[in-house]
Amino acid sequence: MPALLEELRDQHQRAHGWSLACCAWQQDLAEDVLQEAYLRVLDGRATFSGGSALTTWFYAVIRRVASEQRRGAARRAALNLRLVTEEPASTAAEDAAGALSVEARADSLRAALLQLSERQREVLHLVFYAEFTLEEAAQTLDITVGSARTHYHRGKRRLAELLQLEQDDD
Amino acid sequence: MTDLPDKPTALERALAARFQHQREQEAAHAPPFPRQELSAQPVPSPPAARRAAPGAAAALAAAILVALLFLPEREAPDVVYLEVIGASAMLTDGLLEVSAGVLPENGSLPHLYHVETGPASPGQFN
Repeated sequence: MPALLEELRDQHQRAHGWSLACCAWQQDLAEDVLQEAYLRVLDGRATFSGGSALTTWFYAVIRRVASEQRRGAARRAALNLRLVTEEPASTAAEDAAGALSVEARADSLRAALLQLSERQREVLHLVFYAEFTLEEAAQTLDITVGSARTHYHRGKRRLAELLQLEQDDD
Repeated sequence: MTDLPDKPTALERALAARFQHQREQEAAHAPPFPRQELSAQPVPSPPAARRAAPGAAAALAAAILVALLFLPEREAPDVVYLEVIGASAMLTDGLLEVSAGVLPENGSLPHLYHVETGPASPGQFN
């Protein structure tokens, strides 16, 4: 376990970046998700079998926790809506937009990424930010390499449009 | 990027630079690695909460049913339903949400009772 912790510590900042991306850059939620992911590793709910690289495995844990947290939040929001009808419901997009800090709003890359599909955003983050190969990205997201490649190329093209960067010729 | 072309395109280089800037910006705001807290604190483990939640929810459900069936001035209903909306042990606060109701025979709207408990700690309700 100490060796595992050491490796997680080395990856901590990038894991935090991945958690942010999985939580649409909601800082508090991202920190909770990352903390819960560490807890799952420590108390044995998430066990590294060695079938993949430690990093891709841990990123998959973070992604799963983030997904569960989002589902839980959505369910609670639905319950609140049912029980307290005076309170207006907010959409996920509004939540994400509201959670963005002024600083984040100013960041054109994050703003552009939020306009991509979730899969495209994830693949691009894993390749460019985490410097994964497409195979590692596919493993983390539990999709085929071909699918990851498609999301990569489409996401890259869309991101170039949004950021007004010069397109590749491909 | 072993399975991408060896030589990145101009667009890929531009995007890599953007992401690197974002990485540096976010790294500056990353919380410290919580190793000390994780190893030192005797935190009630979520698996225990997960084990306790279904039992606790069942106990609460039984209490609600008894109350429904033996309420004075009410005939025993033919159909009673119970729904555990969210014994969501996956949530860190262990919130339990249970609904129970009586379905009348004549097709009118059912009487609904909503009970929300929590946060529940392992083995007990608060």
